[in-house]
Amino acid sequence: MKRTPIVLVCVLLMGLALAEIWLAYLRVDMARQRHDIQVMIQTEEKKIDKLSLEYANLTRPERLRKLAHEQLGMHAPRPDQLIQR
Amino acid sequence: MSEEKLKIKKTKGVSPQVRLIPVAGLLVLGMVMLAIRAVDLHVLQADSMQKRAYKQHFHQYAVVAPRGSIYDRRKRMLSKSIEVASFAAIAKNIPQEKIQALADAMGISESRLRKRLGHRQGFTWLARQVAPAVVKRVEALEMKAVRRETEWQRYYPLGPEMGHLLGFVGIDGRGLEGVEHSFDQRLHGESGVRLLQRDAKGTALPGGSWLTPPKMGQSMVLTVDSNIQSIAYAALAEGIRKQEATSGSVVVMDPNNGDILAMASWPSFNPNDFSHYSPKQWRNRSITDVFEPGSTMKPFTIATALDSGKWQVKSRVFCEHGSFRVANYTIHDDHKEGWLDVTGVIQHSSNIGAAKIALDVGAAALAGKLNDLGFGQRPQLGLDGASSGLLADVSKWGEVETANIAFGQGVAVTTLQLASGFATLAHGGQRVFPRLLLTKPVHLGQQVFTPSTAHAVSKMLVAATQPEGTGFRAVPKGYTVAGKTGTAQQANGKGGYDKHKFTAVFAGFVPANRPALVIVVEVNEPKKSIYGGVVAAPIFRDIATASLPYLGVMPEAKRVIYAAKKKGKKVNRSEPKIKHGIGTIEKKVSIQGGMADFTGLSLRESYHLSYQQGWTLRTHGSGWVVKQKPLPHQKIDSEGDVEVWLHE
Repeated sequence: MKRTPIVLVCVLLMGLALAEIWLAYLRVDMARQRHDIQVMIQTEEKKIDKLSLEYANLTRPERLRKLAHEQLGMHAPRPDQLIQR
Repeated sequence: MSEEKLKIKKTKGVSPQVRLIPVAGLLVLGMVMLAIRAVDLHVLQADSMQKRAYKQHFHQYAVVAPRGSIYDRRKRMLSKSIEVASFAAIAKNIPQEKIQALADAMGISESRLRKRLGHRQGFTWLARQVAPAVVKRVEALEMKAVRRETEWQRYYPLGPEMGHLLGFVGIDGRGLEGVEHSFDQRLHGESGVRLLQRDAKGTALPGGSWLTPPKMGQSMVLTVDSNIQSIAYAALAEGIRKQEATSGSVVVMDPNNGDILAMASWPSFNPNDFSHYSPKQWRNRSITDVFEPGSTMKPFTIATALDSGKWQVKSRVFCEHGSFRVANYTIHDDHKEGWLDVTGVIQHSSNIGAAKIALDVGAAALAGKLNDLGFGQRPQLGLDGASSGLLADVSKWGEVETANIAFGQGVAVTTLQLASGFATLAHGGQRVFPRLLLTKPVHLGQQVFTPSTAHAVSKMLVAATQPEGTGFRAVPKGYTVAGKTGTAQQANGKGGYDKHKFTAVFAGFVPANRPALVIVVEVNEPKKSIYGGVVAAPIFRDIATASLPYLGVMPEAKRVIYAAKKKGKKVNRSEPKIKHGIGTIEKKVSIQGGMADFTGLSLRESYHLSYQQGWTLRTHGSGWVVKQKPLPHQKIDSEGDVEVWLHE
């Protein structure tokens, strides 16, 4: 009977130690996940940057004008073709 | 028995206590050594050990802050930095036998790579800002000596069209020309250092802190409209090609707030590949190159005269039939004129008329106005390298200088200064300072000319673009232009003028009665023709023709109609005046009890009117209605056919 508190303390300490190990594992795992997500975000941000640049390049006025003229036969509107809403 | 045996054993062997002594001694020795080692590690080597532990637990890395992006007024991207890879190495660590493979992966010759490495021992850039394919090839070699670094490369999606204005940045990320150079402090980012804690495997743990926070480069929004810039650039390039000129520049400005909508120069260069062009091609001619404005200076002379009160719109001046002597200098007119009113001086571009008016008004008055307009002063646009032009101090003006400056000789301006001057006329005589940053407040200056003077000069400038004027080629269909041509001989560098080199200029604003754009075109050394009206005016027209519809500026015939509609009036009932774009043909649309007058309406307006009245419309041709059947005001039934003929 006298040893019961000691056993309980030991069990509690073991439990806490296990919990600490489990938390440490969780912490590491979460850090890894966070790192992976950050890498993904950075990758996507780089993609967005490149795509926005590509968009700006593809929609540059000189290119659109050339395409409209050569492929669609379009021209700048004459004054009499303008309407105001 | 047992006691005897024990005695025998005791006498034969060493007692356990004795045997424990060396063991205990060894243990004590071990403990002492451990204690010494502990003292060594914790006290004597404490600093270095702490550093090692810190390195193992923490990781510091530099975060390179990208340069700020540049946008146009519609938030269209003009310049952006993209993360790219570069490769570096400690030169002595690269194995000689792998240099060939490394050179192949980088797409360069082995000799070139060896030259790059030279006799270096330390840090060496192997390849900077390389393509993704090169990155893959180099990384596939798995060379420990080769280190991948992150850098930022600047891209300019609009290429040569914006080259002169935006400039470019060097490989170190510092602006070297144009906006990139002038606003480098704002655009440039400062690298930061971040600290992360790592676990035993080296994985970063949550958290972390900045040892030095990075300063991101600030983005900038320019007043430039990339569509108008593209239009101006294309028109300038085409005009220069047609005239076989050497160079030219254009500035397009909004006279209501001073916004620079376009600033183009030719010949151009591609800022994405600037090193392949000569530095001469890098400069922004609109702000750096000065030229004699020629007759485009006359409107300011006339405005000064009107403002002085000595001259009125109907005042007349005798133009000496083409030859006029001032001191020991003779002024000539291309077209010999006798008496001309002030409008005639502008319309016929008489040098003698302008000179006589300036001499009458006086040097001080003219110099004062030219200074107020910003000539001879560096524009506060924020762009480095802007020239102040040349305008001599009034104390140095004699009669000859006053007469010459009156018609644009002996004075040198930049395209931007001239645009700013015309913007003042377009803005009712109030000085409008050019603005390049959209975030900067609009800066309106003093009233240089009275509104009535500015209005009167604008009307004279409209006359100068009428069929009998020198600038009729500048007029886009459907609009009126207030503008002036200029043709000036270029200085030969020996105190005189080169007889074979000219500058052709056209400066003006459009629409004349409600200006939306000020456009100044300057073309250097045209070969086919030398005149501003032939060389520069068509470029002005091309820019205006494409830009005005884009900006939603209606042709003047329509504006009156739609203004009436906005006020809640019905066009066909209120008999509005319709102004045709060229000239001022005034027509009345009246359908009360009869057929409406379709003349001057466009096809769309004609359909609109017919639909409203329940008439069936038949059309021929395109442009504006020039003929109709039934005739205007003719009695008709409520329902019937209308036939119109249109012509441009």
